[in-house]
Amino acid sequence: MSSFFSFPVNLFLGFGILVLLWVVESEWGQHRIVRRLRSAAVACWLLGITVVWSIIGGLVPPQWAVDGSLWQALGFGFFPSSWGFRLLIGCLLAHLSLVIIHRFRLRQYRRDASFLLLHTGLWLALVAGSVGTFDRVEGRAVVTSEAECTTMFLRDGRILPLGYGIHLDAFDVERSPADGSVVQYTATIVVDSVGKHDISVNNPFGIRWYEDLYLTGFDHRHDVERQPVAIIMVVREPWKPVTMAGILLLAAGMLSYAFRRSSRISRQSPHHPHP
Amino acid sequence: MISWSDFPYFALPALAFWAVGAAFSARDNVRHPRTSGAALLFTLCGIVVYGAFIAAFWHTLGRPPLRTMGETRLWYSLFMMLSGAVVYRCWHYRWILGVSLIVAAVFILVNILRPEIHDQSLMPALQSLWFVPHVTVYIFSYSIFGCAALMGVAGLCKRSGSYLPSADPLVRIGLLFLTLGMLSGCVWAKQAWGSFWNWDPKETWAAATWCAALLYIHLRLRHADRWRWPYIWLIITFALLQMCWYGVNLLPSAAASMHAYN
Repeated sequence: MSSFFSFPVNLFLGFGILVLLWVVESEWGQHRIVRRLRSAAVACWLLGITVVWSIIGGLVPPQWAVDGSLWQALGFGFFPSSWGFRLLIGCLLAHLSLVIIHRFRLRQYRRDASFLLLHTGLWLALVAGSVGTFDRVEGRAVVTSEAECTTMFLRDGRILPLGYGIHLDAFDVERSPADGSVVQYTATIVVDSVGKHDISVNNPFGIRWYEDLYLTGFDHRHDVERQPVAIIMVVREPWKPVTMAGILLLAAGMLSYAFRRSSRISRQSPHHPHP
Repeated sequence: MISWSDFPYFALPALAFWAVGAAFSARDNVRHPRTSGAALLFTLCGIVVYGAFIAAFWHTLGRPPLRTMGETRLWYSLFMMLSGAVVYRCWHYRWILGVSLIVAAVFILVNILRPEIHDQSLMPALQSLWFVPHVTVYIFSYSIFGCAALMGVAGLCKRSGSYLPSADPLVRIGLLFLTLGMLSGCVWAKQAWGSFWNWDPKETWAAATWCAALLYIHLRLRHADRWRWPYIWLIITFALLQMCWYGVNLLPSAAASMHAYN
């Protein structure tokens, strides 16, 4: 929220880069450098680097990646937020943008439908997952039945106003009769001007199109002597519809690609039995 | 009133139907066009018998049978055979019903031989409608990439690209299921944890696997006549799948994983 790249800077910057790539593709689309940049060879290299980077990131133990360590300096601390990985995602987005613009300019939408769906879906999901993170706010609210909660705590210790009040109406914990472990827990919360709503794990409450409330925990001792206490996670994610659109397009593109009768690879391959 | 004690009376006949269906599909060729119809008919009969147990059990419980480990394994087997039947109907792979049957039978046998898991509760985060489709499509893609990796090994041993035309559609189907598994996981993660993607250790290995499968397709687009690297990437993709499935649990980073359900 306080980042330099949060809205509207990220939107204007992204739009500017997209226009620039459109101009490059329309003016110099047949130049060998531009053709090379949108080639399958570049896609292979970018995907290969992503695989290697993810493997290293997946293998590095978390205790190696503390602040000030060599791994941190090399960009493998928490690798998705490292400069190198962000650069890689930027290159992937630029490559995808060139490829999509090129195919759109060919205007063969029926032939390229699955290609366009797949690549546009991935592009949208990557944009929302990279540029959109600067606008994401996540905080915790401690909700009780005694007083109305109107603020949330961010991870860095700051306190933000919720813009509405929440209090707890009821709290229910279902335990396993076998070992007493928690099977499910549900909080009934009352939100100003919205009313009463049940939330539980896997059942968040969408208070606004970009804001959801999640039940993440409770005070385990509440059923002994104390009043019930529910920990509510508040997530504001304005890029959520963009991510959802990306997911839907990617799924549709993959379905259309998998169910095609003949692929470009099959037609090109000298090993194909029906050339 | 249907209970777990009735499960073998439905599961074993269903397995028998599926085995006959798989046997017919193995004989499927142009000279015996009726075998594919018989394969699908027997598979569907098994699905109906097995589905009847789930429906009756659902009615008895008064809730969807999705809460315990034993209950979710019911769905794995059903979806496994359903997906296998759809893929067989579309592409007529002779082996697909047999592979699906093996995976489904493992889950059924676990439920019959280990009755103590029937009442083992799932933790709250796993009690979601996304659980079964997410896990099932992933497991199905694992089996398909397993077949593709075998073709990779065979092709490298024979030093020939003759297996690639068969591996290409397998990777396309495997990638479809892998992508659907990943995307359903994203939507579920948003519902459960508030974020579509967290770069959790399991998700990191899933991303590596997905990119490796995409890399195979781009390699084939780039040089359709070269065979060595595509075969190698098929094997690498399968190795990454194993890391994503269970190998990640052996790493030190697994302790902090959101996917650790111990």
